[in-house]
Amino acid sequence: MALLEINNISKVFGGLTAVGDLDLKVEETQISAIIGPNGAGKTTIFNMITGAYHVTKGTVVFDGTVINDEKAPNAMKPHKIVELGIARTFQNIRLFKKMSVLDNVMTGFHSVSKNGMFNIIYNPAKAKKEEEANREKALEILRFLGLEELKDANAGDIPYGTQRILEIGRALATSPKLLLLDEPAAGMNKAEKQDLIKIIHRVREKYNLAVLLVEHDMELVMDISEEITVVNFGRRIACGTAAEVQANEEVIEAYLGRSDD
Amino acid sequence: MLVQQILNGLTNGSLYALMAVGVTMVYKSLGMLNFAHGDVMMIGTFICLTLINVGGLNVLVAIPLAVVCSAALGFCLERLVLRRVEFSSFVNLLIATVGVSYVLRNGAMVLFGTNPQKFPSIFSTTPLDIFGFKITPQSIGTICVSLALIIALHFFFTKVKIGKCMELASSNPESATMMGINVSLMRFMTFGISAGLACCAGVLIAPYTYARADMSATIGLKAFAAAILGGIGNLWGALLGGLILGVVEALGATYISSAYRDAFSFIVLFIVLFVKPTGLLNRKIENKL
Amino acid sequence: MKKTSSKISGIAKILVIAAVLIIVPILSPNNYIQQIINLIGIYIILGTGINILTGYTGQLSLGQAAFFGIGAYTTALLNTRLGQQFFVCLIASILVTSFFGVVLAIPALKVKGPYLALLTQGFGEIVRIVMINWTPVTNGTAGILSIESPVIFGFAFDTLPKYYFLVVFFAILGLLYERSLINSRTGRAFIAIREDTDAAELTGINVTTYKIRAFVLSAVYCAVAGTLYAMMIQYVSPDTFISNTSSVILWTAIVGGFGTILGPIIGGIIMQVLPEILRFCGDWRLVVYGVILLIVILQCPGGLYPYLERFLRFLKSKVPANKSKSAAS
Repeated sequence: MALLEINNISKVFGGLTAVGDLDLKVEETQISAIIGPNGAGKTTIFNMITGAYHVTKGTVVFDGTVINDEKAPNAMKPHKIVELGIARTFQNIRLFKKMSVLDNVMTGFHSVSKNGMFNIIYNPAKAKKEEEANREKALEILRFLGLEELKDANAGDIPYGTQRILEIGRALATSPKLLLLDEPAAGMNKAEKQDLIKIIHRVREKYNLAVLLVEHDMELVMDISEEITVVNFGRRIACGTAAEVQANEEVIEAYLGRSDD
Repeated sequence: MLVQQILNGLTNGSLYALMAVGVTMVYKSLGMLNFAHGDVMMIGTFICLTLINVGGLNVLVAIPLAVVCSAALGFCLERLVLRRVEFSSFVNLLIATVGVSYVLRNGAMVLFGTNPQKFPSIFSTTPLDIFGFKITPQSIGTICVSLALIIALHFFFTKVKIGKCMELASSNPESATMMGINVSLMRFMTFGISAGLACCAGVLIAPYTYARADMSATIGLKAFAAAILGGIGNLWGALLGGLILGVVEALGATYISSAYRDAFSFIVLFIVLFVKPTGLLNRKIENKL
Repeated sequence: MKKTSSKISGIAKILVIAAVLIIVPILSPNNYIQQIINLIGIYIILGTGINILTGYTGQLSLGQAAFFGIGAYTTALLNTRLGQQFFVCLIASILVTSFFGVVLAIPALKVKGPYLALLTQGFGEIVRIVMINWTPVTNGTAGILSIESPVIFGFAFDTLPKYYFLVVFFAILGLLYERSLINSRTGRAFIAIREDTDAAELTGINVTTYKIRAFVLSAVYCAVAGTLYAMMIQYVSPDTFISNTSSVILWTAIVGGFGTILGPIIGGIIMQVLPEILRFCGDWRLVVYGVILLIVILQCPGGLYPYLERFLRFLKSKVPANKSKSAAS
């Protein structure tokens, strides 16, 4: 059974179908991508996987658990889905801007730690121990991503490309099994993109997780992805390896427009 | 009895609507509730009263003058306070309007005293008997004037050029700027008109409630409640919200408890914010990630 | 070596602060000034409460006076009707206001920005209207008289200078708890919600429960302040818990600097002392007060704390030798 199984989902906004009858599978530790022209519904798919949107039809199953379903009671809250092991980054970076870089990552440990409002009073030693352990783990993530020197800077003050990497760091702190990256290369230059590719590979190896990304940069997608799903107008038009997708006529049509008019 | 209460409710409701229109206009252009709106109304009322009592003017002369003064006050507030606030920070904007409200209210207490003062009504207050219902010409006048002002405002925003510019500047500042409209000037005007309307509402309310320095708080809040109930930013919504609120209040006071009269509108507000925060006439917008 | 020296300077700092706090009531010339000083302490507690809710969690409240009032009335009623003493009143106040904190939080979860401000202000108005009209319980506009001053472990806090220590104790407790909370997992969750609510939810934070927690927590601070207030003034009436009070509470936090631990201390002092300094303005003093606050808000949107911090850093860099000398002596 695949790690993430999206069965026949649809999302309708006020009569407009943003995503229709879409199927998608992500295997464990696989790097896959969703591509498609602007407004094809890619981010909407992410929002349904993370529980931000409720599906109009179909189910999303993660690791054997139904996380989004047309029947409202079966849909999980986004923070519960994070606990299950799905983390994401955002197209338009959404860091906690006035928090330090380190605190941003530490916030990511929220779902895997326990300290509450009271044990900091009646059991400060234990609370401090957990806090220290999390700080150590957060520093390890920052070291791994090469951000350790920036740990005390405000997240909103560091360079744009670095902010994208930090978002990955915050997502990693939630110890995900599946990492969703929403246009991770947007606004990056060529060198930064090369670094990003390396980082994604290293992240997968070190944390043993699957990566699903939405990206416009074809070079990066073709380079990195083991499986590519192409969507247009909210529907899947092709799925396969980079070579298979590139050879698909419908895909060429979607990207280049009809050749016969 | 029931119809009688609904009539009373409609009178108050039309005044809430008039206040709510001002709130809604400012909200649209500023993105912020103006917490000093009620206080502008109160100051306008006192200016009018002063013109009548001290200046010895006729009511019908004093009112337009007071409206002009209030509009000037609105202009000053926009110019001196709100324009200086960073628009990105909504907390600061809100605190600034709360601060203005504090200054105006305490200023009024010094200038005009804390005792309620009788305010002359424009129309007669002898009740007329129409089909067995008692209604004063003052009530009829209040409803008619409020409705006329709101309808006039609607035409101003949809038919008159400057009104259309103001409408565009508040609903879509970017394209307004591109079309060469001075958005901040339009915001300035919006504030003035809103303050003028508040003054109109004030002089119509004061015969019922007396002119008091603390009249602003409850009526200001009710204006917000009416604007939100109808759907903020929506002129007709403000009218509808005001009327509904007035009727609910009148019925609640009669059939449940008159002591808790003021609480009913806030309870309505709670329910609206809980059930449909966008109000009756606005559609729901799903937020995008 | 370095660690012990920093520990010593830490202890020295605490001693200096303690000395100042102990000297204050000795120096205060009369009860009137002592009462203002005690009120500063109470407003520091109120300011800290709203700082958690608005400064850190980003949920604006214009209805803090309602919680303050509910706390004060609970204490007043338990004390005058049932003869209960300080701790029972305090705990009951905390429980009752916590309940209302949840009641307000539930609709508040659905709205944000100006709507939230309005909702909380509406809540404040409803509570005030109930205080005025529920005469059998609240005694209406006349209020509740002759509340006893507290006796704790046999010690009677029956004069204002004695009462001062009770207020200081709770103010320090409140500030210390706030500090450790903000630097913990809960505090990060609060700040994350303020910075970006959706991103916080998608980072695994249960935004709903954390918002409720912030509301309840700020209500608890108000409850403590309410109990202290009722037993100090020994009289409560609806006039105290009006929307002006809510504004003052909000300003206490904002003038000092939202989202800073020490901000409410600066705010508490300024908000209470300024109206007294302005007595020379006669009737106009509250107007001048409002104008000054407005200017502060417009000119320093981040409050006054950052200026104080800069000033202290400047002092430190200029006179390191002097400072260690004064700390040692």
